[in-house]
Amino acid sequence: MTATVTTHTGHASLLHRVQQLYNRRETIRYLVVSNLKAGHRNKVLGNLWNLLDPAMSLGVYFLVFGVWLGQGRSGVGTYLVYLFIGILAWRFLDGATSQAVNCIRGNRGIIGEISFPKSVFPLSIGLSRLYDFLWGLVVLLIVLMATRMPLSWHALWMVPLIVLQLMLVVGLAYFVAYLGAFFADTANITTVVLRLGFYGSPILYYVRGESTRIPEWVLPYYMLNPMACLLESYRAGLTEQRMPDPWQLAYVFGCALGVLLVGYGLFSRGEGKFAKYV
Amino acid sequence: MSEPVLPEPSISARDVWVKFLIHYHRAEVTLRETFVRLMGLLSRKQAENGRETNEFWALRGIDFEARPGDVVGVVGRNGTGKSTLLKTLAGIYEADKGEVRVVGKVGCLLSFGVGFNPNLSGRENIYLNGSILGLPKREIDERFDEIVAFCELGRFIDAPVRTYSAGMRGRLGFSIAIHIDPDVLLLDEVLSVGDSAFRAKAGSILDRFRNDRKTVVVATHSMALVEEMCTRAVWLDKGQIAIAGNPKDVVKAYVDAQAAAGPGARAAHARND
Repeated sequence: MTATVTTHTGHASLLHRVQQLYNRRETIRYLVVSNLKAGHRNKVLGNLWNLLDPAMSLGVYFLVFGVWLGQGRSGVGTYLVYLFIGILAWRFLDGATSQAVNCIRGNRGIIGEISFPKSVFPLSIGLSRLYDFLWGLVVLLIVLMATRMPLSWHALWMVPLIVLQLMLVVGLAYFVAYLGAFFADTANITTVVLRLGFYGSPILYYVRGESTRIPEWVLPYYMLNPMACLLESYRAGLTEQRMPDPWQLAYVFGCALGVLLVGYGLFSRGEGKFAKYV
Repeated sequence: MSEPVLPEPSISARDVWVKFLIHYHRAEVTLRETFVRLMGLLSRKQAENGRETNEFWALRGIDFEARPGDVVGVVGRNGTGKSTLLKTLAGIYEADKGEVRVVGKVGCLLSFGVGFNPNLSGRENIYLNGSILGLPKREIDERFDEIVAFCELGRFIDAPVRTYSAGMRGRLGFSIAIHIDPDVLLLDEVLSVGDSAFRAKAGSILDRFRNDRKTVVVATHSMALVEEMCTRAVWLDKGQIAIAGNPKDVVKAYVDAQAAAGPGARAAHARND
């Protein structure tokens, strides 16, 4: 039998905490699976909702923005794919962030009963929504092939881009999970900020080309939104057969890393306090 | 001390202090409220004063040791820090001052299975909880049948935990806690879960733990349990250890003090015995 000595005083180092998290990978897997299972368990259509949900919002936005507001004028199929990528990627971020807000309060039972790294919760939420995102991309790829849209090797840029988005999403999840644990109204504020982000990112409308309504001089400021750069990069690889802009890639990487470090650092500070105050 | 070769203590707490901020427990803290408070702090420099009155020290300088083979009963009135002590030993609360050292795997059961995800089945919760407690899947597989047999849930094991009664949840929690094969077991008033048959079974488990040279700390209001099962007892009063030692002496001192405090307190304890 191996004797483990646990001394609980003060704060563990960041590296030590990351290692603890790695040792908990099995727990994280259970949390991801139960999170995915619990999501649609009591519904008649069950896991079909993973596809129906994005498909229905795609339909609504296509009618409103594509048909009624004329964004689809330059090509209905192109716009539909443009919209689909945007909605999938946004749901990844939106779903994880709005779920992570409540992850500490929602698990107060187990947090008050067992000592374990609480950082497994935001991470497992991020991974659950990554799983949904990947399934959405599979559907997107099928659509692209079925409609004979040209695909090139540049589509492989998706892989590093997904890693970047995962970093960004998990960082945000840690950040809001920390705030949500101590401040009950974080959820309300998060909802508003996410809505602002949704309309402030190129999801429903073009930022370039003839259909755009964004003035030329605003564009550099607009692209300060890392999600705007990320979405443009996704589309560059997937539908425009070109390499994403390297400056945008570098910028997204910087933002994702910054958000992850700040979010995780903040969350680590709260790690020892959650059980007492939540 | 002249005792022959004492084993290394499996739990040692040195001068442990734990505080709570009453503010957090008063109501939900909101960003607006915090903002208003911060503005207040900026305008007048009364920060430290305000803080002091908001603090509540639940544990004040606890020195505590337990060795393999010890079954330590913790007694005391409600709100004297019994649960806080167990949660601090378990590492759930960080000590604000002092040091806690625990050697070996800790199993704890501090409330009636609130650690379960109500929407998952008992089976899924065993795996999830086992893994959070640090047990690899292989070991949970090995013990699964034993866990289910001990908690007597039968075919309800595949029903969602939200459909369980309080007794069923408590039994499941207790069963998981003892089957992860802990070296240190912390129990908070949980032996009162379930009917008398289950209590008897749980009591024999305590004996087995003592014989296997494990360490058990149990917080309870049952003086009979302390006198019959425990090898040592601790009386906690207002976050400090009033008396520690032989269970009979501690129980007598505690019961006498309660009797002196008033007939109401005495009646309450007579009921619990």
